[in-house]
Amino acid sequence: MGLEGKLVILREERTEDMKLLAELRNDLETQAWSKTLPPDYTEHMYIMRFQERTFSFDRSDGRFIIEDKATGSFAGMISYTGLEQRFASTIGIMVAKPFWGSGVAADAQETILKFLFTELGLRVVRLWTHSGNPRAVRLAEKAGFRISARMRQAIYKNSELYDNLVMDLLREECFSLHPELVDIIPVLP
Amino acid sequence: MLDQQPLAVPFSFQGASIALRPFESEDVDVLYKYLNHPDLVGRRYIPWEFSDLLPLSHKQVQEIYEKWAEGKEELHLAVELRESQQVIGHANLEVEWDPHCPNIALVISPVQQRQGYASMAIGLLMRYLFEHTPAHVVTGWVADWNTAGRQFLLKNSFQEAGCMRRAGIRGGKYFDLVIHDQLRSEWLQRVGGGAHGA
Repeated sequence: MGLEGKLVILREERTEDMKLLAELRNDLETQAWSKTLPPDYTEHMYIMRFQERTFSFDRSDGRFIIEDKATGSFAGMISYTGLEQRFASTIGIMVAKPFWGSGVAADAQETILKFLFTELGLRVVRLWTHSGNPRAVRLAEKAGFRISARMRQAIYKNSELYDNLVMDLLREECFSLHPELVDIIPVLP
Repeated sequence: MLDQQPLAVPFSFQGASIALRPFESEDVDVLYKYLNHPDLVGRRYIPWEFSDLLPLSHKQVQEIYEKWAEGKEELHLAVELRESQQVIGHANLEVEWDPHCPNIALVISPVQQRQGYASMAIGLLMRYLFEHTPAHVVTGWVADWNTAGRQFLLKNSFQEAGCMRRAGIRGGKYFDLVIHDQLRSEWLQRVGGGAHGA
């Protein structure tokens, strides 16, 4: 079943998703990386990466397909990486263009944040973006993230220099936006 | 006179009294001693899989050395006093993710601090990055409680770029990592514009 939001289901990757993941990665607008990647990823590369995943109870990442609840369609992917157990992780998201502006990205973000804070007990969640991606900044701000660092001109892409942005969301900031959630972990100073 | 001394290692960056050179196996004992110095706890800049808070065993230091000597993804250099060839610290350069914006870290053994060695070392590192790599901006990350480290970067013309909030726990409190950056143009202005343009 995966994780259920209002508009989306975050579910495990499947072989049939690999073609769409390659397409997302090959679109310079949706790959959204701070460093442009060549748009030559193949379905086969993704299948290889998918097959290399091994079973473990000690995971430092999670990768989910965003599925639109209404249609069952592939809408993108969302992940967390660099998990420091019970403390911190970094999230990343790619959304297929037909779902831009649909609320799917914000719901996927809320769904994974709820999982990270209420199931994994994290104290902070971070993400990286850049000043040339205001859509990503707005999406993050919607969930309560704020820009905590701005590294000047650290990104070069699309013939422009952009600032590299660190955005983060503290546990108590997330809970304060969700009065329906109760946090029983004591807050450190 | 120092310039005419034969190099003890295949290659090094040389300052007036220090050199930066690759780590070698005979450095492990020195590394073990200064990495376990209590004043360095929490600011050792060692690979993430090793605790930065707990004492390190010889075996762990050997593993750290092996990672650093491998140098496949990051560049790790020993800071050595030229006269005595004593290792007094280490420098890390992370350039592999994007050489446009490398990250640097510098650690000097607490017993050798406040003698200008760190300033000399950072001068060599910045010159290397801006004169021999495509670096456009260099960053340095320091814990908010490490006031000496923050002052050192500011003194060396870095600017504060903000922080990564809640980077860890120390003394029962969360701490942040303060991020600093320096643009190539700022470095050129500082050193007198002797380097090539971008």
